[in-house]
Amino acid sequence: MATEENNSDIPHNDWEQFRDFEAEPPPQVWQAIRARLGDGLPGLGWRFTPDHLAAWIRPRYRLYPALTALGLALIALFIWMSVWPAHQIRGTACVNQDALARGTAYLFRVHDRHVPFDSVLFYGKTELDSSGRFEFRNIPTGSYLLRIQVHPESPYYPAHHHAYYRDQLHWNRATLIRTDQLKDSYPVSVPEITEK
Amino acid sequence: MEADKQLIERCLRHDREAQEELYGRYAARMYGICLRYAGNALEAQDILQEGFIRVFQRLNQFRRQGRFERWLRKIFINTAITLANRELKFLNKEPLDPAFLSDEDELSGLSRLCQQELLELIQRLPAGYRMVFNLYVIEGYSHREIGTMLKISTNTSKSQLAGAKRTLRAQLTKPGNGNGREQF
Repeated sequence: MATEENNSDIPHNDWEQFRDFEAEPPPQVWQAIRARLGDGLPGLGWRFTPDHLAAWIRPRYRLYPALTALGLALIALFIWMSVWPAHQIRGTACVNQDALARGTAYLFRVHDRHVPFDSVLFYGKTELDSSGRFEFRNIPTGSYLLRIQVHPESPYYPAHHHAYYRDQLHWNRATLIRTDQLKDSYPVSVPEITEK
Repeated sequence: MEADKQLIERCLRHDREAQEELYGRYAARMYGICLRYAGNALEAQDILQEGFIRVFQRLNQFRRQGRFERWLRKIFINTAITLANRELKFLNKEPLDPAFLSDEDELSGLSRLCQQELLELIQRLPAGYRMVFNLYVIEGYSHREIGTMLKISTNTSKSQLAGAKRTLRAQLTKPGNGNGREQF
């Protein structure tokens, strides 16, 4: 420990005693060290004691960044695995067995079958092709309501206005589409609105 | 009392009793160091805990011909620097204190204070001041060595020391501080 600079303003002898200054640490420090030495990572073992908790919390400067990153990565992977996998929902819309050429297919995400319709989440829409076919791609895992809306320009309008899969006028009676039980095709038949 | 050498051998075999004995033998001295480098007792306990974990993990790196306590001190000082790194990394961006060019900052009067008073004064210093003051004045490192340890320039180290001295002097001359030791 060479001191090449001028250190004469501070007589070193005066500081020697202070350099060897001693103080008794509180006993919980050793308990925390023992927990960290003895059982691997504190707080993760089956022996979860207050010592483990103390050891986990005390080193405030190193909150186990690697573990935290790994944990976050696992959570992200779980979310990705459960939500992201893309599905496809395709089908046809028809009126009295005839293809509905002019119409729009709407897809709504449903979190709870019993929630009011207002809170059902709109997911997307697509126009029907000339054969009445529609297709939604990259659909996240979940439950969906499918609605076919007949265009005003269609010859079937307004007698045939809309329908929910399979052939219901009211969403509450519609059949839910679940991505874990997907079918190849979802045919929707648009019923005629009859006045009561 | 068992010699350090035998105690270290037992610690290397992960003997829990030996580890506790080693801790008991050096904890008070090392805690004294930690208190000087930390801003408060909680930080000092963190340094102490982290330091001993490093000691037990790196005990096999200790070369037997050296003094064990010196090796321990070095580990605890390095631990204190590592843990204060977040506060220290901005030191290079701080403007240099022109007082470091002057040789007039006499501080020998500080030694008249009792150790507890001195410790409180040092703990009140900002992290950079405290670190450089400890390393230069108390441990006896040169500014060049401090610069390497803290990853700062030599002039920054000198500037931090000048700032530390100025702050200590201001604290000492405050009414109610130092119990009449203003003349130093």
